[in-house]
Amino acid sequence: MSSTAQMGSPVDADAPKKGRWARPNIRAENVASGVVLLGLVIVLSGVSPAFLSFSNFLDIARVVAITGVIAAGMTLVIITGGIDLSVGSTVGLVGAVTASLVAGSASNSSFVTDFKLPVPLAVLVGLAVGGAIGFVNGLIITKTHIEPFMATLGTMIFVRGLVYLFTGGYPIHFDPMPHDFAFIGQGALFGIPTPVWLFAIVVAALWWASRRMSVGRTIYAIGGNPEAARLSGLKVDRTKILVYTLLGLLAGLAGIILTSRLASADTVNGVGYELIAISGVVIGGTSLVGGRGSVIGSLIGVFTVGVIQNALNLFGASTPIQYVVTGLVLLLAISLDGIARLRRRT
Amino acid sequence: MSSLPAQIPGRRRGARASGAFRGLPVQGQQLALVLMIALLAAGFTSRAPEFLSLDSIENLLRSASMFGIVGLGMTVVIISCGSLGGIDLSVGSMMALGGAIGAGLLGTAFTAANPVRLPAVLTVLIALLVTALLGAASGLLISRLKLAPFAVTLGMMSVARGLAYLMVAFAIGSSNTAGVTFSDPLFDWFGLTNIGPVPAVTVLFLVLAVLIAFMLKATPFGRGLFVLGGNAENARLAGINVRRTIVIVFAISGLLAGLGGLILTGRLSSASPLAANGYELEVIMVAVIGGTSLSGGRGSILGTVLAAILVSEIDTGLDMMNVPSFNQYLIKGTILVVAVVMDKVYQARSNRKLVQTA
Repeated sequence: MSSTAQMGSPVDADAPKKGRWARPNIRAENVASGVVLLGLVIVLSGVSPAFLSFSNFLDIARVVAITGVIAAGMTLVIITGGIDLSVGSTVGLVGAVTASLVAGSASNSSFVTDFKLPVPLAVLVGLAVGGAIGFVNGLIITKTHIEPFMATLGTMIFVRGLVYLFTGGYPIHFDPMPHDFAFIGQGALFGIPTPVWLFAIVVAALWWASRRMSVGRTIYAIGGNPEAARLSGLKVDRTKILVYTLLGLLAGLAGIILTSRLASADTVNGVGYELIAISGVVIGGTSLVGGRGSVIGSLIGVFTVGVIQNALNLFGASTPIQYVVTGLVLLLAISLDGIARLRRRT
Repeated sequence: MSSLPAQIPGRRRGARASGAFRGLPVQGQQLALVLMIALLAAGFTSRAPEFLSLDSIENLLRSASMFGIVGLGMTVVIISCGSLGGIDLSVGSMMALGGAIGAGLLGTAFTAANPVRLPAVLTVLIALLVTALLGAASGLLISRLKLAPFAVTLGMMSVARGLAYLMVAFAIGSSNTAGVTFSDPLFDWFGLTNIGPVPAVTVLFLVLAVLIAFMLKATPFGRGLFVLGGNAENARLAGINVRRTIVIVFAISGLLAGLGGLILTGRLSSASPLAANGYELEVIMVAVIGGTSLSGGRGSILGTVLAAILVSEIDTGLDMMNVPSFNQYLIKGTILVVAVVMDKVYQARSNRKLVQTA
């Protein structure tokens, strides 16, 4: 599949064109995932009037924001042809580290000491930890040429071990949670929840970087054909390390939002987030082979997952039904994507 | 000759290098696995003498057989579909589903509703049939629509887990996660019976391993899998029916995962919809530590068998030494990375040898 795809598109047929404006990324695949989302929304609002309300939409956006931040960064990693399974563990570790540094936090863990920092500094330290994990991932992948799947599977298990080590298995609580820190996950600005603002900023920034900046073109070129990218003088390794570091940082941000929102840092925070984020990216039409996809597509993808979850909750669907429906929608979305691509090729 | 330089940077040549070693019973990498198993056994025994007791070894073999049987399917999937990013993430859920069907339809289940009562042989066959069909469905989507196996099996993982919940809810007549408990001779055979000093499932595991190794090395279908894993286009040009092969491979993986689930259910004498959560990573670890290359076209059944023993040995030994679970995470993560680095070194060396001989 990878070889034929590359034969069809010499380097990166889907890379953004250098226009005055980045061309809106409307392609068959994006239409497919957009149609799935639109269809869902129309059907659901027909069935249940409660679905189509502004407050319900904000609810969905608030839930989606946390995994959405990860999915936005994951999109760039997947476009380079990589993958990162360690993000869920990063969410857990950064949440725990940040929580332990914020005034008012307490736990039975020996690492949660009286040493506290002001909230902005604590958040910065947390983001730095996330970035460092991503940097190590990038370093392992580029310097040892281990498949990203295996390398990040290793760091996923390892970092989850660090979470247990750091928290000693005890949750970290706040008593009371400083107002600044609560604002990150529970606050709102102009009636829109803070996580949604953060999510919007991240998506806008990454979309801009991937479509309008040279680093974005490099990312697409690497995914399309790494050897050609290297021979064209692009800094392949440096760009890869950059996208993994960025993803680690964003996973850290997600961990901080989650901790603030739940008002506790638990050892199992973020377990399975990597799969939710990857599902969103894939539903959004980004190819796991690399070189094709977009941040906006992932936005549609994570909202599709969020809308389904929300609707299933509204209708009081049981856990099994939720599993089956989520899985089937994922399969449906990628099948439509696949059919759209096959049509275009022939 | 003209195509050779293009192939050396990739790992495709490594695939053929292992072919040159195929006459030897044990490769260097497998020797390293045997050595590690022996060293760890010595280490664990020195710290906890009961590690070498019969009970502990039996326990180890049962767990190794379960992971190993599912790992055989994973090995076949990765060998044949590695170049497509081939992997089967649904095996953990398939195990839960296999166990849930096998136990849920049983006449001897101690449950409230128990609407269907079938003999164990039939429930086992139905369980294997369903998991094989779901695997084939994954294979169909992957081969017909050219979708990434990662994404398809991720969806299937969710679907199969949901079906496992539904099956258990159907059997016990309420939707809690308590699971189906039962008592049945056939499941006892999976979970308790010994043949001589060896657990019955270990014999089953070894028989399956020999069968699959035979299939890979001695049948045109099996050798085609290596070609397919090296390069799908080459396989097509060589006259291999790529679509059918992919469907069969994922059906095998589903079937073996279902069997692994039945073994797990037999050991626990209960089938829970939560069973085998996250086992897919453990199983992938078994395949990769055994020397199966994630880029496809290379892998060995003997390696998978040894790796299953090694991984279960680490689990059993660390539990026995009362190592806290978070340290187990650190140790396992480290071992995985070391195994993958060793694989890289091995590949680099076999590539270099080829350059010299060329």
